[in-house]
Amino acid sequence: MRCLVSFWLALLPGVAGAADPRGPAITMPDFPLPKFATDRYGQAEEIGVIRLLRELHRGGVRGSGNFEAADSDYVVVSSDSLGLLSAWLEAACKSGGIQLPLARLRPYDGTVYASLLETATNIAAARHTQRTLAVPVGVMICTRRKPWGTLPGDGERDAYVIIATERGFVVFDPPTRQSALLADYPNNSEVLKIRL
Amino acid sequence: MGGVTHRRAAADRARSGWRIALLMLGAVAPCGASGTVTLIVPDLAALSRLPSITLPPSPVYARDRAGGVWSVDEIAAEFGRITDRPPAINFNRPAFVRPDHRWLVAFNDWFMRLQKALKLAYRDEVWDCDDFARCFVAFANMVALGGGETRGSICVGWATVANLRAFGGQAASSGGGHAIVIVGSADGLFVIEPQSGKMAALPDYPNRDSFVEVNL
Repeated sequence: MRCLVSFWLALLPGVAGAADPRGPAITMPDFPLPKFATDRYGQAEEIGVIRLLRELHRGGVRGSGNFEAADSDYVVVSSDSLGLLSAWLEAACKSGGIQLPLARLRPYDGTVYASLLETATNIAAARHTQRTLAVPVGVMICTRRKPWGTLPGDGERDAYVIIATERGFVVFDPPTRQSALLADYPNNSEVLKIRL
Repeated sequence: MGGVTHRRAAADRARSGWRIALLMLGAVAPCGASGTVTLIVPDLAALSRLPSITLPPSPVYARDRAGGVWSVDEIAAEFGRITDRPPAINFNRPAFVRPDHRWLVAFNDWFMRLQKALKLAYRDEVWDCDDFARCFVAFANMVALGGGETRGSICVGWATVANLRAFGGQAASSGGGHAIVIVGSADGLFVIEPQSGKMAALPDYPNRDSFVEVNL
């Protein structure tokens, strides 16, 4: 009798799992809180939407209709943190079964990885700080008219991570680890959408 | 600037000694192709200082039950058929994979468990409606791609809407926008309020005629 009970108990998780099979738990490094740039008083540097827009224009982006900010106030990310953000994204993807460096070998959507990093930094800010400011990590969609590093100038759409730092906006392509200041990014006049 | 340094190709040549020194320090790696490029070197030391976290087991992505691929034009046509004012659709890929609907329902349940596990609660600006929606989108794609979806990202995005009628625990509001999740599953277009997990087919969503834009 005891054997029979054990048998049915052993079956139960399998029966429940048939309707909603669950994979293994995902263990990953905790969500990364970037360092924030500081102002002349040593306080975390704040940046509002108007100044973000000005920085985009300085970065060579035309017009303002292609810029969308979900929040009104942000805190400037220190460019010292870019190495951490890159490392976290690769590690998190690996934990989830994605080989980020190989991602461009398949149909690639850069918005996926930009969203993941954007979400991760904001989760970290929400859990580990009392700040009321959003983290300015987002996605930039543009047309690749000119080549950039190993990425071709083939007229295709592509999406990158964009981060507002004390040096200006930084464009970052996670699979290739390429980055550039927006002002130096060769397709900065071909931006279709920037979302923070 | 620690992990990253920007420099032009000419400057690279002129400062090759510095470059070698920096490379030895693991601070920067140059890339000899087009335009100004700096390779970000992952900061593994900083990463190793982060504690590990374990997320609740997510539903296995049902690749074999997923639907076909939906083009942006087809998605726009579906919005046009169901709503009086079809929203603008922002996209990077021209087409998206339609996930299995049962998986979507299971994922939606998982996302509620994830919020509880991470103790995610609404905080103005820092963690508000758009953050909930984008978090849903980010993890849905992560689970799908990690689960073997090789055809590309799935048809999940977030949308801004004028919340004129209450839905999913969000009170009606005459002013201001609200962010919700849009999913094109194998069964059609669905709206999810990510803060409560409430799901509705687009024809049953009370604010279907007040979308502003959709971000896929």
